[in-house]
Amino acid sequence: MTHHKPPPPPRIALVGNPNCGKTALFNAMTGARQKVANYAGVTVERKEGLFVSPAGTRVKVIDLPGTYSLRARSPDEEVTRDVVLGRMEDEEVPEAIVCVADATNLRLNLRLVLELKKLDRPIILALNMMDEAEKQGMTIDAAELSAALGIPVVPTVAIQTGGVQALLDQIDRTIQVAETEGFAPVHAQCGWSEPNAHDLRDYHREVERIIALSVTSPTRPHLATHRIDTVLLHPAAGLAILLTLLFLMFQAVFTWARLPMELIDGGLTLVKGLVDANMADGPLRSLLTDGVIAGVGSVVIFLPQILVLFLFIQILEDSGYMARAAFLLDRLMGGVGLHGRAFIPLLSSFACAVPGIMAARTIENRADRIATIMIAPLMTCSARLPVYTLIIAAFVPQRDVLGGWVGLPGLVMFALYAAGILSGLIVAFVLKRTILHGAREPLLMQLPAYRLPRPRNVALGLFERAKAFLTRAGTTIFALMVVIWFLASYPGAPEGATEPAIHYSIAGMIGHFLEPVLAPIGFNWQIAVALVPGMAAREVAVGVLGTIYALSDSGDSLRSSLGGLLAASWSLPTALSLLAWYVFAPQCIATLGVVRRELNSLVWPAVMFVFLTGLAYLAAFTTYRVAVAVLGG
Amino acid sequence: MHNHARHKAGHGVKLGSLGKKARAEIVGLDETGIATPLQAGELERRLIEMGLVEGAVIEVLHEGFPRRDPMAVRVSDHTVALRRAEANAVIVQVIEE
Amino acid sequence: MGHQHILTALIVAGSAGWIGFRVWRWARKRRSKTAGGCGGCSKCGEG
Repeated sequence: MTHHKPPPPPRIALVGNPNCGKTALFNAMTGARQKVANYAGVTVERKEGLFVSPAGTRVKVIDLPGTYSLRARSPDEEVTRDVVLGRMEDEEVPEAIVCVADATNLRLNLRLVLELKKLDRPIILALNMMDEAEKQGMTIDAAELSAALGIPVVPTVAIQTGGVQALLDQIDRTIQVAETEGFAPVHAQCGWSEPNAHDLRDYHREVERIIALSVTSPTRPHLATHRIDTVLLHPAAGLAILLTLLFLMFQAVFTWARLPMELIDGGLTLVKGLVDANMADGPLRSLLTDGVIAGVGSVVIFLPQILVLFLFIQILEDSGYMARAAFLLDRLMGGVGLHGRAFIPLLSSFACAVPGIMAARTIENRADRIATIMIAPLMTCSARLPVYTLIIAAFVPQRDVLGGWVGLPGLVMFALYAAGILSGLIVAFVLKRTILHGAREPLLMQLPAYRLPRPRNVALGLFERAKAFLTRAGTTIFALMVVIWFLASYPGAPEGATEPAIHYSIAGMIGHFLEPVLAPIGFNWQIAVALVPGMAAREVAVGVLGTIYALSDSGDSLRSSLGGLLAASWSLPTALSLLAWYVFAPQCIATLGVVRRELNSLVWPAVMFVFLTGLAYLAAFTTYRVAVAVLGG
Repeated sequence: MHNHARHKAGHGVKLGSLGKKARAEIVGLDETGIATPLQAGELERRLIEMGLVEGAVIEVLHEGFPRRDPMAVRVSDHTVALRRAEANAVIVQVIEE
Repeated sequence: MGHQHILTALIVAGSAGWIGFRVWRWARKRRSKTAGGCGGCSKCGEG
């Protein structure tokens, strides 16, 4: 007997409208066995998972970007089209398609099913959120629907244990049938072609016919959503609530994260003490304490804040509020020429400009998209949070203002975010009036029914973030810190040196070389050293400052926190100047890289780098000079 | 309320001119004269894909700010947000104002 | 003391090599354009 290589597991693609609960279904099927990567050549997120079917078959599931039709309008939707049509390079055509439909909102979903049927591949229709449909008084005759569509139809409740069992059983049956009949050839001629307006009307009539046969709806569906929207979409109250929500979000980033941050800080101090006590003085001890603990530690400590920020974004997304925010802001953002949909990429940019810039792909019009992308880096990303937090903690006194319920540090932080947003709007206004003028892309979007975010889905999302952040801290940032430590430690001080050793090191030389350029904006050579590796990732700048100041410390005095050291060695104008610099600074190669790829141009990232650096220098210069004049050097 | 308050029943008007709480039936789509960066025929197809198609009964649910733009419209069992400028491509017959 | 120096040198060389490897791989992806990969951000560990 020879061992045969087992055949590759069959692959199922999940296709459906945006907001149909596809991701929840994907999570329910695969649990944490997911892999997030990118499609070859494009920057669309590719989510793949694995599950073992009731019959014991290992099945791969791919979660495709949500779409209303195969007539792709954006790069995201093109991926969905190309994968199901088998046109995607390096991507096998899936053996079966699971079309996920929101049972409470069948019309648009069924149109997509009719289009998918033209592909002549095995299709299963998953009627998701059946519990909600029933709660609303809808009845759906799955057997009738299945007969009318000519495909198997299974009700699912993705958020309930066992709610996807029927779907898993059906997948087994479909795979079995496909195996006995032989899978369709990969590049088979398919019956799909891009529908014109006439075809679309035909699809629509067919859907109405099928719905009349199989569905009875209540007279006023989504009553709760309508009532909530009366308040949340109210021109005055709605906008006030949106602003309050954003303010609370930034306040929470500070207050909720304080305790876990103190715990991490305590843990780091403990480890440092242990290393100091148990190791002989030497280069390795210095590497561990000054390089790894001071450097990597000062980045890891920001994990709680980043998680709080992502928690808010995730909840807003899962609940369906994001579309409302776009609705509320469309006209206002239209004032500066931006699309309402730009709100979502811009809000994501508060986490990180890279996914934010990728999210701008939902804006189909190129001029609108460029304008959004150009201002995305002005939305303060979470990587700048460490820099802000550090300087605010060191220089802004902990004092309550506005009747005691807002802390001064939180207020300063809010002001920094506001400065970024405001300058972003101004830049967009100028761009849309000059080089990017033209009509805006239409706003045509569904306002999905409100849903309570599922703790499980939110937790899975946060877990992915935390894992990614820690992996990065343990790999890239760790390696960078070791190198920085080396540059900051060698060569050592010469005989009879008067300054701390770092002054004579390679890093010190680089810093002194750059100092004249940065002196007008109040930066010292330590900051100059930190800015260079900060290009790779902004948060690294804090780590570098941690290492530099740990190394320049005289040694016998017990080292207090980095914040305390900075407060003692920087003037207030320098601190304010650095804050102003970081509002604008394009200190992130990843952002410039993704701009280049998304717009397929070298010109735009170059423009972005030059104008952001210019703005940063100007802002820091003004801040420094004004602060010196007011406060004295 | 809105500027075009006096519709005659049975006469086609533009969806973009309707005020809050108005109910109407869609009688046609006509994208001529709408300023859009899209290709000819594209706006019509997108409207159909969002369910805004002849025969659908719609109700204006919410209005944005300022100038009551954009608008949120209920189409059968879902809600679509669109700007008044593009809503003008949808010709409706008012059922109830 | 000797051990400390050797170990330190190894860690520094390893880290520098690792960064070099990442940059090299990133540059190669960039050129080939078939392997994809993102710009690298704090959202996912890739890149």
